[in-house]
Amino acid sequence: MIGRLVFAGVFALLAAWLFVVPRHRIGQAEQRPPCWRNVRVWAIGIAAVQMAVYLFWG
Amino acid sequence: MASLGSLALDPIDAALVVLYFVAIAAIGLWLSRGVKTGKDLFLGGRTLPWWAVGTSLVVSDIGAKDMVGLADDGYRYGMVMMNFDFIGCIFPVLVAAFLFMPYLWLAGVYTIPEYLGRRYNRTVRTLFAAIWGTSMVAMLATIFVSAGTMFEHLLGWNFYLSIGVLTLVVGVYTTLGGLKAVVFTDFVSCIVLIIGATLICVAGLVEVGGWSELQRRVAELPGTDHHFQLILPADAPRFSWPSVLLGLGFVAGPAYWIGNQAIVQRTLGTTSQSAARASYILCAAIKLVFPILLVVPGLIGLALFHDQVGPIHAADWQGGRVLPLLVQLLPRGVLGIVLGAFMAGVMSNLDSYVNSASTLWVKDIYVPLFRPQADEGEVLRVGRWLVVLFLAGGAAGSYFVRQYFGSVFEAFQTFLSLFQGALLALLLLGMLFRRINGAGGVAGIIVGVGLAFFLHGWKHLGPDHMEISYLWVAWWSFVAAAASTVAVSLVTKPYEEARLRGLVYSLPAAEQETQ
Repeated sequence: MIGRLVFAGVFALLAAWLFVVPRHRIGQAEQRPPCWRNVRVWAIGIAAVQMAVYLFWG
Repeated sequence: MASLGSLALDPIDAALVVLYFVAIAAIGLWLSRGVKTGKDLFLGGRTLPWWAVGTSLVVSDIGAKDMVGLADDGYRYGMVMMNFDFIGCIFPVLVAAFLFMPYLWLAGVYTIPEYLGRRYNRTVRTLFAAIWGTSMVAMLATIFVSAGTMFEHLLGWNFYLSIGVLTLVVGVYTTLGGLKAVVFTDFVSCIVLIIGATLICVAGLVEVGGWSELQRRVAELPGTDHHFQLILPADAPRFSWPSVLLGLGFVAGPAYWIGNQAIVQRTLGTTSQSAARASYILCAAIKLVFPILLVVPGLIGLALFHDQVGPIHAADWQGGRVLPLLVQLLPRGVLGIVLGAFMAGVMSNLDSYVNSASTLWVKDIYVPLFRPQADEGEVLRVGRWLVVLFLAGGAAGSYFVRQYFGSVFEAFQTFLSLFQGALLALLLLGMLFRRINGAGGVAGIIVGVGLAFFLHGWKHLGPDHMEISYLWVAWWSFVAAAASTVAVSLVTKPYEEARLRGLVYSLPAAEQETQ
């Protein structure tokens, strides 16, 4: 149970970092792309799926 | 029920296999027309599209060794093996895409050791290039073994003849076409590999009677209490969750996805750093599915073929037997696609590693140490000759890997664990902290790699053949390398700020991204 929470927590922290990190720190251009072309949105989605996978199958 | 005998290929299957070989060789040769310089050979002229690089990243990592090795390890250890692609890949890939890729791409380097050379010194660059370059040839040997074993078990082909044919085909298009040929043939390979792996999974699940029946049958066998869990208890002898988290998630995975030349090289060949980042995200998205397609066949094999393959913890375990049995469940015609997928995996792995090994030896050793005045023509010529030499070396090395390792996947991971800890320590510390210097870097390599060799040697020479997982080896070599790098840096003279600009997180370069 602890392991499951730790692994899900790692991806939760990653998703949170991706959400809050300033654009200039990750080399993103000033112009905000639409959601479906925004790699940061895709990355947060992938991290969320991984959280769910570890909570369900852990 | 299928047995472990060789198959006679149906004409349709044989035609599909030949068609695949011809198509890949033709694509590679066609793309070789534009290769005029070392930059074309090693970075595809920096014109590679993100979608091709993203799929190439997947199949540079997942190939035949994973199809064969993860089916074996899924049989023996269960779903815990999916962690190699989940916490061991998706987590570091997402971190690399946003934290590390911008620095490597903007630095305009060809190789990871080249970056380390600029950040630390020439000794660090040369040491890592030599270690990585040599290890890549060892890894080529593991890829050859997985291919030869599969062809031998499944089709009855001679082990070494299969390796010879593969060497010839991969050698031709990689030598002539360079990274661009590698990336575009990998794109085709990735599609074929996904289709083939899906077909094996579906056919196996149909044969077993569905997912619930699979769980029921596996649960009846001894030693399978945790086969359907991703996380094993902290006291499990292998793949305990702390070892997976620390050794795989925090060291081996990041070192592989941030510091592996075969991986990073293709992202350095993209058109912009945005494209490089997008390629990493595409790779992570595909990796959400791939481990399921590779590990579940091992569980299906356990349910269907445990009488033929044997107990999961057998001391005399012989690798490479699970997948050939599963493949025999497929109807004729479909078998040709799966064999094509298998060859796709073999060839994409081989072309990636041999192209990167050649890049390392040319750009980090041959040119800086022996021929600084070499022109582009000479770089191109030497790079191509090295591809041929390394393929031959990997084919010869397959004899030793076959003799001394039970699982090709484990052999591959063992080679990586020898230096991944030290590499990651140097990359992380070098990118994040300006106080770290060249003397610290040299100390970190020596201590980290030395400890990894010692721990692996201790397994065989120590009392009672002490068992220590390669994941713990990676973790402790990382800790030792990091500690010694920091300690030596703190007692030696720091670098000036101007020297570190554009190489350290807190000191961005003046120039902006070109796109």
